[in-house]
Amino acid sequence: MPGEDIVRVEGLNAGYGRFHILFDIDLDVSRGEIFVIVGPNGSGKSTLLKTLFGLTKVYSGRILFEGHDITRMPPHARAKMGLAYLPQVGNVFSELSVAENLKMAGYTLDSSVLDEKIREVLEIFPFLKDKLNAKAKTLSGGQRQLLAMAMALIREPKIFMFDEPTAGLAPKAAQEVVDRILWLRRELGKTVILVEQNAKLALEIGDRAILLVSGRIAFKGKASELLSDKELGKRYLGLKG
Amino acid sequence: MAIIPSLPYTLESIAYASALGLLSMGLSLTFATTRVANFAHADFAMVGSVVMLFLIDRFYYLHHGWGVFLTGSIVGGIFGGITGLLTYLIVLKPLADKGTSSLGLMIATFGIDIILMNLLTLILDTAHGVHIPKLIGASVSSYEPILSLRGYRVFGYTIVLPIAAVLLTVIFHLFLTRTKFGIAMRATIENPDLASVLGVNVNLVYMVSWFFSGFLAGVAGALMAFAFKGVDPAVSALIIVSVFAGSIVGGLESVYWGLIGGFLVGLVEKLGMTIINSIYRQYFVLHLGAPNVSLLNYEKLLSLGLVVIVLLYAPQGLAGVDWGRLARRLGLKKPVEGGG
Repeated sequence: MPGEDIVRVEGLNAGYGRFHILFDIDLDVSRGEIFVIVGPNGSGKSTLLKTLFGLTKVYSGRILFEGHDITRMPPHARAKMGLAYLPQVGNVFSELSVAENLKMAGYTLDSSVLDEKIREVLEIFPFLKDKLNAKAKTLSGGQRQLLAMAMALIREPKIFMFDEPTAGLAPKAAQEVVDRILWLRRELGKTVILVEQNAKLALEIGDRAILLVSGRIAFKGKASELLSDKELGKRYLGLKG
Repeated sequence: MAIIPSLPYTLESIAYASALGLLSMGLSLTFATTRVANFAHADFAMVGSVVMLFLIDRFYYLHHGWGVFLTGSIVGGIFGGITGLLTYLIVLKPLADKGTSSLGLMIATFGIDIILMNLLTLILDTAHGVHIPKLIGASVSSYEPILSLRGYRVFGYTIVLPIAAVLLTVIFHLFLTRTKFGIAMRATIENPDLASVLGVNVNLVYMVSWFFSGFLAGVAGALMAFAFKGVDPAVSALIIVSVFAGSIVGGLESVYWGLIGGFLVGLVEKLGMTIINSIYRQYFVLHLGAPNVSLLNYEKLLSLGLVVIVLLYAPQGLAGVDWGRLARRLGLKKPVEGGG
C-alpha cells in the first residue's frame, strides 16, 4: 500500500572490510515515494546504496525490506525479492548487443514470458527498437542508463535504487533520465531511492531526503525543506542561497 | 635447396598452427572467465593424444582410415574436457573459494602440470601393448590415410586439423551468440557481479568454460599425436610456451583473438623458421662460412620474439588494436569525414 514502509534501516554501521564508512544510520522509505540521498563527495551516499543491496560489510544494525530482515542476504536473493540496483557504471554489458542485454535481464524467466516482457519495455523505450543489434558500448551515456532501466523493468522490481544516474550526462540526456525516473513512480507506482551528486535536481523531484555528512545523517525530512535550508545547502551541497 | 617450403611441409605447418590456435583459444577462455593462467593446459592436449593412441592400439578394427580422426577427436576431446573440469573442481575452485590470488592459482597449475605429465607417462609405461618407444616411431602415422597431392605424400591429419579448427570455432561462435547459456557466458566474462545479480549461475559458467577449454585441447592433442609421430607427455612443457605466446599475442582475454594469436605463432614457428633456416644455410653457411647448424631447433625464439614485438606496439595484444584506425593510417580505408 502507498505510504507504508518498504525499506527500513535501523542502527546501521557498515563499510568495506576494516574501513568503517556508515555510522548509526536510521531511515525508512515509504512505498511509492522518491527518496533522495545527497551529500558532499565521500560522504557515503553510494556506500549506503550498495549496503542496501548487500555489496558491503555490515558491522551492526539491520535492513528490513517489506518487513523481512535482509541484512545478511546475498545480492542475487535481494534482486529476487524485488530490489533493483543500478550502479553508475557497469550496469549494462557493454560487449553484448542491446537485445542480448535485455535477454540477460530476464535470464531466469521462461522464453515466452521474456519475449513478452521485452516487447513491453521496447514500447516504453522505443529508441531501443532501432538499436537491438548494436553493442551497448555504442550507446550514449544517457541511452545506456535508459537501457539499464529497461533491463531492471523486465525483472519487475518493487524498488529502483539509482546511483548518480545523471553523472557525466549532457543536460538534455540527464533530463530524459530524470523524466523516466518520475515516470516510474507516476505510471508504475514504483519506489525510487536516488543518490545524486546534483543535489538541486534530485531534491526538486524527491519527496523525502537525507543529507549524509561523513557517513552520518545530518538532515532527515522533506526534500523541499532541505532544498530551502540555505545553511545546509551552502555548507554541504554547494547550493547558492 | 629452395627457400619456399614444400607443399607437405607447408600443410604440416598450417596443421600445427591450427592446433596451437585451438589450444590458445582454450587458454584464453579459462583466463577470461576465471582469471587463471593455466600452465597445465598443454597436458589436457596430451590426454587427447594418449586417448588417440589407446583407440588405435586397442580398437584398430573399429578405428582406422579417416574415421580414426573423428572418433579419436571426439573421445580425446571428451577426456580432455573432463580433465579440465576436474582440474577446476578439485584444485582451482577450492583454492579460489579460500581467497587464493590469481598468482597463487597460476602456481597451482604448475603443480597440476607436473602431476598430469607424470600420470600420463605412468599410464603409457604400464599399459599392456602400448610402449613409448613404439610410439616414438612411425607407428601412429601408419594408421592414418595418406593422400597423394601434386606428386607429394600428404598426411591425413594435415587436412583434418585445419578443418577441425574452423569447425570448432564456428560451433563455439554459434554457441556463444545464439544460445542463452552462451550469451550468459559472455556476460559473465565481462561482468560476473552483474551476471550473478541477474540470476546466472556463474560457477556453472566457469565449469563449462573449463570443460570446453579441455575439450578443445583434447581434440588438438588427439590430432597432434600424428604430427609428433607418437606421444611423449613431456612435450607439453615445450608446447605450453607456444600456447601462451599465442594467447598473449591475441590479447589473453579474447577467445577469438587467442585462436588467431595461436595460429600466427604456429605459422611463425614452423614456416618462418624454415625460411630463415634455408636462407641461413644457403647464404651464410655456403658463402660466408657461418657455423653449419640447423636453426630449426630455435623456433621458440621466433614465437617469443613475436610476443615481444606485439607487446611493444600493442600492449593489449591484437585484440586491443584499433584495426579501423590502422587501416585508415595505412591508406586501406577512407578516413572518416567531418572528424575533428
